[in-house]
Amino acid sequence: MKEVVSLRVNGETYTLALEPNVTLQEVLREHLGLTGTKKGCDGGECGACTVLMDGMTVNSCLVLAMATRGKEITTIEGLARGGHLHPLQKAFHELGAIQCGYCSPGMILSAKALLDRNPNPSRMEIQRAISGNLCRCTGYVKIIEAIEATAFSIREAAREG
Amino acid sequence: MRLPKFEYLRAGSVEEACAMLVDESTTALPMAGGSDLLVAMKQGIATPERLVDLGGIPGLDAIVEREGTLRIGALATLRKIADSPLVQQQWPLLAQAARRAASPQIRNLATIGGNVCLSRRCWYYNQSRFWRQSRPPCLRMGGAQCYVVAGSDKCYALHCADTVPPLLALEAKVKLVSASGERIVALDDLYSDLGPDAIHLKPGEILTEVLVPQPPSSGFGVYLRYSDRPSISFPLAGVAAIVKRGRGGEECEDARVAVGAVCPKPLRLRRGEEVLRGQKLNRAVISEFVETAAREVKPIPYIYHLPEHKRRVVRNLLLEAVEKAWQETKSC
Repeated sequence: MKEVVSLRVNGETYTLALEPNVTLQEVLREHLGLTGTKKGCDGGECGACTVLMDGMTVNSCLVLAMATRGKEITTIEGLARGGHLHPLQKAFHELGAIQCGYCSPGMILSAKALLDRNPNPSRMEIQRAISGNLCRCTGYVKIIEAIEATAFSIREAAREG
Repeated sequence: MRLPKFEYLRAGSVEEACAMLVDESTTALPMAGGSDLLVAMKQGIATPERLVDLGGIPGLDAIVEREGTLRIGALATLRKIADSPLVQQQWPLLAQAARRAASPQIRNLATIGGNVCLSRRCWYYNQSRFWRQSRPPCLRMGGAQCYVVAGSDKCYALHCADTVPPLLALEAKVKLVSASGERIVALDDLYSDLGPDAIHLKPGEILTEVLVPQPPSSGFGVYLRYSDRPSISFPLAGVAAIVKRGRGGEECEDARVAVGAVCPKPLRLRRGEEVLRGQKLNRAVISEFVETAAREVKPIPYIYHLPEHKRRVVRNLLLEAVEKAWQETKSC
């Protein structure tokens, strides 16, 4: 039996009639056309479907759309501002942290959640923050370097600003 | 994998949730974080016609201390418990375990109630319909055989929750609420020895709170976990140990050791604890402890992790956990 649900995604409100068995991942990709969030294992084990819910990373394949009332969802599409890439996106792009790109949206959002609460993470803290995101291409080295570089440049910009 | 269709109800209170769960016209399951339940539903191994979402019940995720007892609402997420200053300072063993479970994403959703009540796991059971179609159904799925213990007429699925060995070592209790009242049960008494139902709950009964008494003062707790990867996966073995030095500073006044994920039922290793109590923890005593404690455990294989291998792992974890805990109490 469909129910009307209002979702807040990337600052916009969407009102949809949904069955209870629809996951947040399905809403984002199939109902809202936001296909930046990827479908990997569909079971919470790979992190490709990672989105931010009230600033915290979650596997969107494990969240019922019905359970997102009152929450702010951020997808990878919500990171760029006015046509400008988020510093994390730029760093991933410029430092070769993206190969096939499938893990990248989830990886970047996990990194964002980390940097939002810890602007000066150690390498260990970065590894822990992305420990729920699997990458089969890169071997993680450039991903970690891109996150470190972004943290550094954000701190530098804050100092000069 | 699409979720099957179900009726979705949001409970506004524990009483309402209990009523929603007891309905003869439908099969109903409670949902907390949903991080395990939804996977089981996608795989076709959990088939409730109705889900009762407990997430909207106010106050059910509180973490407070009252008269020395830590009271954690069943809906408190593992993330919230790991980050709680109260838990980190006074019950650091529990914070340790909550921080190690699963992945960051899952810890943001998974609850302690869900972890304590975790459905028992088996390599031949926790698989998609497609995978399970390749062989006749196992006992738990209504078939005639167990693929883990050949010839058995019982299900040997394992309880793999990270927070449970620490909670056992801390001698935690849980509060269970139903329409006919509430009861407080020691975690040690909660679990069945064998079988797919880890916990015997009355119809419409919900676990609402985990109650953790003060740990032994100036005792030190360590949780060690063995898994196929450092994150995401469930543990293949988990050991929690608390040791406390006596007044003299030389002997072990108290020791509590628990193991999980190796057997269907998480266990306190009381005979091993007896070996440590009152003794100076030198190499010989700890070796005797490891041998005695390891013998209390009858490991069940998990795919290629055969019982001998698991026993070796448990010995190593017991040794490391007790040595580390003993070292740390030195510096207290």
